[in-house]
Amino acid sequence: MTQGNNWTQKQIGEVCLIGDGTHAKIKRQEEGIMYLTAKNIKPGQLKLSKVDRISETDFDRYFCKNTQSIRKPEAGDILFGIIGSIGEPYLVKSDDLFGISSSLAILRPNPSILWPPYLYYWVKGPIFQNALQARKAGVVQCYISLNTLKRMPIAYPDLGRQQKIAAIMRDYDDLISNNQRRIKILEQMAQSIYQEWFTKWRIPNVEWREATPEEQQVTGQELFPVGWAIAPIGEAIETLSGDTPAKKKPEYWANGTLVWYRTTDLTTAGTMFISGSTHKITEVGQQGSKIRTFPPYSVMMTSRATIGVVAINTTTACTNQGFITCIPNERLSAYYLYFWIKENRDRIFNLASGLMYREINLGWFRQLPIAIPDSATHHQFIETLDPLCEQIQTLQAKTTNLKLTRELLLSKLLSGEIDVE
Amino acid sequence: MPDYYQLEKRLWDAADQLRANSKLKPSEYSLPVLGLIFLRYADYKFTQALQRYHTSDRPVAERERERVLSIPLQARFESLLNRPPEANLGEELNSAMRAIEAENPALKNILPKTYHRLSNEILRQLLTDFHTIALDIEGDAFGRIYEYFLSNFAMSEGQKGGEFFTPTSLVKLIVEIIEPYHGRIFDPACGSGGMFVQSASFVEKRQKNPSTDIGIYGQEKIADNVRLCLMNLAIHGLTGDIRQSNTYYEDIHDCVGKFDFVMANPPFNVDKVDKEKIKNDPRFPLGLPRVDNANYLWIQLFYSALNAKGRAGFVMANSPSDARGLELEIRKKLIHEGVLEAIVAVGSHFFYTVGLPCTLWFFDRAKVNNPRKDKVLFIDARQFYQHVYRSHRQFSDEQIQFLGNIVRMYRGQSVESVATLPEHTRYNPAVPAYGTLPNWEETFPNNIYRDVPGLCRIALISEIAEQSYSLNPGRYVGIAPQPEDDVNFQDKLQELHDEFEMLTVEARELEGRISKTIERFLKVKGNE
Repeated sequence: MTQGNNWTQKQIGEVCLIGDGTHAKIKRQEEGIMYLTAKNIKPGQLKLSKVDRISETDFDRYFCKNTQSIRKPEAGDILFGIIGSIGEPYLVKSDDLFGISSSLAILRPNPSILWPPYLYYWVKGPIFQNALQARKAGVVQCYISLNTLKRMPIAYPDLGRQQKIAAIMRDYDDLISNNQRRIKILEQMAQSIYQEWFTKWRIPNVEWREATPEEQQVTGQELFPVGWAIAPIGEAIETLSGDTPAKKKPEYWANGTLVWYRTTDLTTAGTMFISGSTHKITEVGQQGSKIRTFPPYSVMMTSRATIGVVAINTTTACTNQGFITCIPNERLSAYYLYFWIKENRDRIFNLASGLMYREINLGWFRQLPIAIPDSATHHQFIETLDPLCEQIQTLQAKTTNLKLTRELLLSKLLSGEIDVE
Repeated sequence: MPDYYQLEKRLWDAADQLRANSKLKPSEYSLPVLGLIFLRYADYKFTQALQRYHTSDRPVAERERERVLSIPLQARFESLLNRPPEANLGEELNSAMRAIEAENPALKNILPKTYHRLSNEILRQLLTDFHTIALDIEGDAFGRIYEYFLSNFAMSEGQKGGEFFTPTSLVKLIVEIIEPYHGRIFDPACGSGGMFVQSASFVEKRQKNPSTDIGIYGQEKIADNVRLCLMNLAIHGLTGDIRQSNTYYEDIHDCVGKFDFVMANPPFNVDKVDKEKIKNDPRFPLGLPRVDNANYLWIQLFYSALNAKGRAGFVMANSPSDARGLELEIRKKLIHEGVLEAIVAVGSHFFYTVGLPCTLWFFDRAKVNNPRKDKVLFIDARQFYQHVYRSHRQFSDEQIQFLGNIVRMYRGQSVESVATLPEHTRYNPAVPAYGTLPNWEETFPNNIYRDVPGLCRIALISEIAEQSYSLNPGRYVGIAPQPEDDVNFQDKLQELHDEFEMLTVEARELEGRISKTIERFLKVKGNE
């Protein structure tokens, strides 16, 4: 690798103090100070949905500042998973307060040489990560020893350049999270409109008549919009399940082009629209299984184990057997179905059964009654949501683009191939 | 009105000092402490009765209904309190307990006699504190306090201690629904006897005499719990045939077809019951489950103990409602027998020691001869609860009454108003009630039953068969219409829009900076 002018190449241990979290068995409790492990570090942030807590006394005892080794995380430290979940760094902020287990290493840069955010991006960067891949050890559980960590490579220009590199990367990270937040807001707006119209039944320009008992059951109110109908969802639209082509046959998978979704694709993306899957299948694979493809803008719902996660595909796709996919038509659009599923998650969840994992039987799902809007209301709804949803898709595309650019830039900037001066 | 809540708390704090100041574990001092409360209460009732006999000329029949224990002089609370400082209070208390047992045969070998293990100082303090359970208390306040202590010990002893206590509000709901006015009542997993005490209070509420109208039969595995149960009965003026034995293997009361009412909260999901020992036992007429789980053994025990008109109500884990395999076969038979009357889903955090939700099951054997034979009432009560402590919930009396009335309407009985609830069943009014009760009149106009989405539904057995015999109320009841959002739609949209605009401005700035950076890099590349 070639670095630009005035770049220094060292081992991490030469420019950072290195330590790890406590090896002591600390009693976890309901409340108290957070105690993080490698699992709590996610790209760019902490993942605190499942976090252990310890008492203040224990925290003071195990993470006092005067211990010989560095153990207490301080602002500007880089935390780095070294057991199990390896490789994702976290830059400690000034208002962070938590203890860490021995599954996390601390890299504390020498401030006269290394700018902490630069070190953070260095650890995220390809040179460091490739070196890491090559040195991972452990059969059952991967780990990196502190000594290995100390010998990992680092290259850096002068502090001024480091700051500029970090600032450029920061802009990308900020814009990506800004976009993700805006996508969430747009989704919430769309959902509020659905709720206002179809769960609170405040629909603009609609005439009402008295509801039949069945209509009351579905809408929970005594009036029913004129021109609407009720039908089992399986009769109103086409629904289908998925399949998994034999994993052992490489010809079913290698160089496949057909997008094939699993639950994790949806949960990882976490967005209303989804455009790509981790695994793709080949034409042969499609013929060798019971898979049926569905067109773009269908509504996919997970129906096994993790139930009720919904997304709309933007390309022709198929799924594994843990899904029920609803194919929209003139009467029930993708938008209407998407939010109907989200709003009726409890009702759908109630259909689930099974001991090993909860699963929704397609037959039962098909019997769920759904209110079908009259065509004027339906079109009004689609027209209202269209700009919001298109904006969501634009922002998603932008985010994908930004992530690619960020990766490209990161490797170029950290190798000095592009000079920031 | 005295502030019971404060009083309970104060007394508990006094007793709880034992945790810090004695070498004993809660499991070791809970029984003696409950014994002192028992003594204080029995003494109080005795004093009241003495006064009445002196001052009134009441009919003999009424006196008989008073259900008062006889307390000998040496065991009177005042006299214990006034023992000289040098007296060995531990020994004095032991012999006081012996003296009470001697005069009240029902309590033979039941009362705690381990007071010598507590120091004089602590005992004197406890006696003084419990003495302040003062004269201005009316009704069954002592019973309340006794229950409060039982439940607090259940909590402080964790999982294990919880064995002897079923949350009172669940017991009350079961009692409301099966209405054990008179007859033989059986609890084969009776613990401290909460089911019996509540049914007695139900009988009293209807101006009947629990000591003559109901017969109490219990079976319990843990000997200490049997003693607690008998003390608990005695303190409420009841007697019963409570015996210690392992219910899985021993049929102490020869129970098949014998009882008018069965109420129970059996332990959930018990494994390792030896099926060899019970394979020909008539108490399990629907077959033994293949899985190593006793839930369907308990269900059959309750079912088979009922006589032709008997009713049962019991607490179950949620899993039996959907269990597969042989358990499904047993459930199928049970449902087709036509005795399953109702299933009530209860939310989480009702138990003192575990957070898990549960289901209440109700049988009615008389139902096979009436029009409800082919029907089961499903109630989803998960939205009803009030908070007691941070993570502990119960039904309020109004909620219990509401749920009980749904069943009464389904049976064609008349509904009852909350006003008929006994005065002493009181909860801390400071706790907020959740799942605000729907307006009764609007929900059930003219007190006539109807299916209410999210709350209740009558399902035909044929419909249950279509749902693979699932007894999960959610399947049938559906979901309630969403409550009106407090936040106005316009306001919410405005708020979202404001944030979106702010983010967009910020995004433009970032986009501008990124464009500049990239343009610069592109230029550099171009120049090369």
